[in-house]
Amino acid sequence: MPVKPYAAGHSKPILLWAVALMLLLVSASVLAQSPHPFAVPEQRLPTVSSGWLAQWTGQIAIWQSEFYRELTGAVRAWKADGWQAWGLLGLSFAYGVFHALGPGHGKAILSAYVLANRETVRNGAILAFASSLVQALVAIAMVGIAAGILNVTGAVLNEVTAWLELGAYALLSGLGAWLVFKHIVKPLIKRISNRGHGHSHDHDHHDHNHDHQHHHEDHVEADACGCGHVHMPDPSQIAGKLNWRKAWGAIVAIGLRPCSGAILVLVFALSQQFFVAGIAAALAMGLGTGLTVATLAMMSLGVGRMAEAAGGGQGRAWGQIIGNALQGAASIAVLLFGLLLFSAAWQYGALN
Amino acid sequence: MGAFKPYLSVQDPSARYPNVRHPKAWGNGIATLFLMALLFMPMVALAHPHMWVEAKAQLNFNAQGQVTGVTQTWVFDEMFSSYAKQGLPATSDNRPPQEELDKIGQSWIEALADPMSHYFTRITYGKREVPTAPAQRVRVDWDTATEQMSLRFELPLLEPLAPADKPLVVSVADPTFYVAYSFEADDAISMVAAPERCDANYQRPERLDMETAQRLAAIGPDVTELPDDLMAVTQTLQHRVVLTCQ
Repeated sequence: MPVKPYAAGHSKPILLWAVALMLLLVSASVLAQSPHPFAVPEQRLPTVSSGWLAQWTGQIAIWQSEFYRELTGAVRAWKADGWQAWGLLGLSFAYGVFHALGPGHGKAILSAYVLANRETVRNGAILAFASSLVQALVAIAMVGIAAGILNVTGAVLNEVTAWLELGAYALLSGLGAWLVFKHIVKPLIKRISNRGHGHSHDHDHHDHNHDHQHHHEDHVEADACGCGHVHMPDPSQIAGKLNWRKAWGAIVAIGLRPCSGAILVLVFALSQQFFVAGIAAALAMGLGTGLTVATLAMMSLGVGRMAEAAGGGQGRAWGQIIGNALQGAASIAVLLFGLLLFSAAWQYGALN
Repeated sequence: MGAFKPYLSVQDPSARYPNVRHPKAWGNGIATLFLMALLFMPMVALAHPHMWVEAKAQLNFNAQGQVTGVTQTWVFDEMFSSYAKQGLPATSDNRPPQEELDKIGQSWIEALADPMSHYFTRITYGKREVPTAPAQRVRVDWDTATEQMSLRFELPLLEPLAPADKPLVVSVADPTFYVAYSFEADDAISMVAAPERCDANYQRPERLDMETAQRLAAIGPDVTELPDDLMAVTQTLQHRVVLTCQ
């Protein structure tokens, strides 16, 4: 049964619109949120509740709350007895693991980013841990300088967090725009400029795409038309080296907004004149968050890979179409996330 | 279809059979999208307290045996307390000066006065909501022993009310579940100058079941009136002080 190129051509817009629509629906509820009377730097994101998902997030929230409530006691215990440091580190790590499973944008952005870029699993994990480490370091630096040295109030800390948040989301929007340009606009332009002979390609491209079965690893120029160019993969990318110049945007976009749990435990440690416990707790939280985000990013890569394989893999028309659609959809998702979070932070952040 | 296979793998097994197209491609694609949609969606659990408040409620009566208002004291958890205290000047006993605490109290009460929050308190008599004046006698304190901050305020009824055949119910809850309240202290519920015939009881909220949580989550923020059956359920999710006078 031959591939019907026309049907294939339609699948991409449908998938993309589905993602876009979904995110727009979510956006309506974000924008309707108003600030809470007792403001702490807490990320307010829309509620998604359905079936097992609600049960799952509910349970996670309960665990996370339990760990959170133990943190103050653990800081005090360490202050009294050095050996109790492990208690705080363990709790903070567990809090980080469950925190990343609950609300937050980090895991979603990173999952979309690695899909959009066809990162390797190893790179996805490195990105996850790097961004979580940056997140912890930003929290430590912010509380250390603003609260520890300048002794500002909680209200000012909320404001600083809001600015960092805006910066992170602006950066994220830029990153999304760049991904959309690279994976959707550029291939489309290429396709249009190839139109003169493109028609015949549409009919026979499924005949000559097996000469490069492993080209799908990581090559940057995603081929939207699948019209049979010979793709020579860059050997360094096959090897799975992370391109740090390319990755810093994603790392900073995720890491720039410090996690509220880390800020609160740092401020509490400061109030106990025991800031080092706060630093250790923030780093342990970062490690836990990184572990969860890395796992989720790897899962999203695995799912994407399975979808491509379902269509016959990158070498086949269907596989390539699904792969490209996923890449395009993930790029759009990053862009929409950025715009959505930015507008929500702009309207309802602590800046107002 | 296929086990977990990371991008690192070079050989695609399905590519070995180039002429066999997978009929389930579309279905798998949709399933994939669905899975990813779940993964991408920022999730906020409905039941996710980030703040814990040990609360007390006191019912105030006038000489005619009418309820004039409710005074509440909310003691905040240590983490939030230290955050609220951060950056304030401290007196010799490590307590913030009262004028600083008053400023904080003013900002909290202003925010709580928002109709959406309404001090997280509703007073009902039968099916009718009892209107209240803005909060007064606002006081924020710092307890140096427990290192906790507390907020006290009185919510006066617009018109004093003597409950007769029906109970007067004071419900306390944060509808967003951001703040978790507890009324567990022995003296959590009290009455001042109450007539003999009146009795106040505390009713603990029931746990939010998942079905209700989902239905609540599905209702848009612009909807102010819940369906009757859902309203009946959410009533049981609040901490309730039930005042009955025979």
